[in-house]
Amino acid sequence: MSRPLRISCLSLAATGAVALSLAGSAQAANIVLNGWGSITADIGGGALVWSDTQAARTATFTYWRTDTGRAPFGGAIGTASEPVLIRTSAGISTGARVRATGTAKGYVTIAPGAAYAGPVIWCCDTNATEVVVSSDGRDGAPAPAGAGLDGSRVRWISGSANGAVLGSANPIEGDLRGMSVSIPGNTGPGLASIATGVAAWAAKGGTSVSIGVPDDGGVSGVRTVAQGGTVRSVFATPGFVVTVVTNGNRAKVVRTDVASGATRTVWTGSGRPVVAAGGSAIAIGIGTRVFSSRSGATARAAGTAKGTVAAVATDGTRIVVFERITRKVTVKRRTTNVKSTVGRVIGSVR
Amino acid sequence: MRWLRVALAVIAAAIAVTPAMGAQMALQDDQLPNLSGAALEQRLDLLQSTGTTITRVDILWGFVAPTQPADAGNPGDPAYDWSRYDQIFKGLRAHDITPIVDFYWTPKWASQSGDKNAAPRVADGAAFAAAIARRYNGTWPDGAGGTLPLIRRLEIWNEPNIATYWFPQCRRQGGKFVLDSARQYAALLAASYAQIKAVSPTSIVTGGVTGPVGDSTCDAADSSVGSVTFAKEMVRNRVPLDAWSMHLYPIGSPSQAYFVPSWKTIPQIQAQVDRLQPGAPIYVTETGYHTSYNRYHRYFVSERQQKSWLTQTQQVANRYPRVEVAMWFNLQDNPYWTGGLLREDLSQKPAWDAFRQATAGQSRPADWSR
Repeated sequence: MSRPLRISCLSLAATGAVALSLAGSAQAANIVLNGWGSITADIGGGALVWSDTQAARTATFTYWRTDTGRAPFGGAIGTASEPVLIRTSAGISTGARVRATGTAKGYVTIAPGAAYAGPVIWCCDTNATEVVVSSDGRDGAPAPAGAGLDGSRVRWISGSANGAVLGSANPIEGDLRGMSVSIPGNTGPGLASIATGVAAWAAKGGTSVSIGVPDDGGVSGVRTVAQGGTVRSVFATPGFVVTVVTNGNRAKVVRTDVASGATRTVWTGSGRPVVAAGGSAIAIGIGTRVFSSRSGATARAAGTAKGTVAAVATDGTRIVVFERITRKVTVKRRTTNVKSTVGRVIGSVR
Repeated sequence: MRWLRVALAVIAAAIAVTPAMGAQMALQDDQLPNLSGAALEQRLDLLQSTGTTITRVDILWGFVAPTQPADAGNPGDPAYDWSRYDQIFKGLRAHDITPIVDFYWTPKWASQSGDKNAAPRVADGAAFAAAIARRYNGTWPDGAGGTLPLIRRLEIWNEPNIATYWFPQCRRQGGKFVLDSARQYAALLAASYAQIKAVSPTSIVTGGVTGPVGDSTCDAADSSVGSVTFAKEMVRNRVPLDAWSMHLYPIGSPSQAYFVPSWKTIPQIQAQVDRLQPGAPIYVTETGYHTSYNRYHRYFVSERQQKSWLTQTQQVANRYPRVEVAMWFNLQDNPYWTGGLLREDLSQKPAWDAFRQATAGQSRPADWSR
């Protein structure tokens, strides 16, 4: 028989684990992460969730890690629970993403890499333990580009040499027999997203986004909507899809209505903004500035962070930023500058 | 002249143990206890085809003794059902594969909590260890006119430093948690040693069997104890043993990894073991690399890395003359463990060939042939 239980009991210090700490009271806390990792975040189902991907440099070698954390969110950030740790030496981790499931403070997270597929993980079962929905180590296995919860199904869209693939499983009811079906086109890191009743994806270097209704048999009613530039990221909600689109040095954030396919540019500027959506709102972070757009209106300033915004999240009312800062830390009278990423509520959707 | 006595003892012990011939690359197949009849035969053929001549078998105590034996030290007690293990060990003998045996999974009648991972009562656990040793001491009738195989190497438990296999690790005492598992395990090891030697004097009683834990924390009942700390606790309790075993799942390649426990930290363990039994052999009874994420071991490498790091495992193991065996875990992937040489669908990973190459160039020491 397979070993009934096995846990990884590695030294947290030795594995370069994230130091997760909370400042302030349990009801109004900040998330403090070591380093300046690649962050994604989302809010839903009463939880703030985030993924943090970084290189872990040891004295003799470097490996990669992605930590996915969650904390209760009811307008303020509550006490974070133990993160899920993904460690690999299989290559550079790229494209890790997390989406809140909208129920039971859960999430679906993916942690693909440049040379490997990486896992799809749903959090959490009745023991508050994460469930590995998909984890394919074969060379050339389809790499998840986006995932989320659709009703009772965890679904994920992967890119591969043979085109895009929709995967589905039902871990909530203990059914991990994942189904996998081909869908039109292809996709790449950060270019696919799942929300309740919505699958959205774009090809790497593509200028349009495909939107349809996912089920175990594939995606129906696929509508391909031109975005007016190269699609750089895709974020789906039940009612609309948000894309970051670039044209040379110029960038824009486009909101595409799922029902009609109508598009609307809610923000333009330079650089590569980070975006998230929730309710009827879109949150946008660029540099240290944060904007929000409600119901497709042109984005308005919503706050200024203390450091570069690595990720944003919104529940439609409040906006959380993960900002990169440098903190002075004194240990035994010796003060050093420590890079940290701080997650905090920066303001409200305007 | 105390140093001279110690030095002489180390030399004498070193002479007494198996001459160093390089670590044997070996392979465990955790599916064996699930199979019988033709399916078991096929599986043993598959295991043999890897070239391994040594394997490890987990005896699940709760399967063998679902009800409490009246005479627990007697393997012939009618409460015992050894049928699946008799088949396995006879099959291994027929395939010329030498088993190392461990046991765990506390039966309900011996468990204070009713859970499988409950720390056993010392007397019950030691009696079961003795029953294993007696049944497989090479003289027990097999019911067909012959005898059951001899098993010389018996590990006491599996990963007693992890709550998954031994609970609790720590107990609340005076408002704080204190380490408990090591003391309890030391008692089990000592009692088992005495009882095993009484029925099978040539048995090699192996202690430790530590899981891959680095730091020791004791802030909850399900905390973990670091493998070096656990060894130090055995020294403090002056346990008897003939060999030490440990499990290594390094982060990083076998030659680069340096976190405790990894190949580079074996000298730390050897130093402790020498205080118990100078020169005693070290068995790495589990090692490996996973090729995709699974929640029980959250570090993975690519299939190509697994192949090259398997080869490197053998090279690194050979740097430690006292390491007699490096047991790859596992033959085949399952949803909870992706360190196999075969994928779940039985297709071969690149490491399959690497393992066969590793075993092709080695010969099993005479001492391991029985």
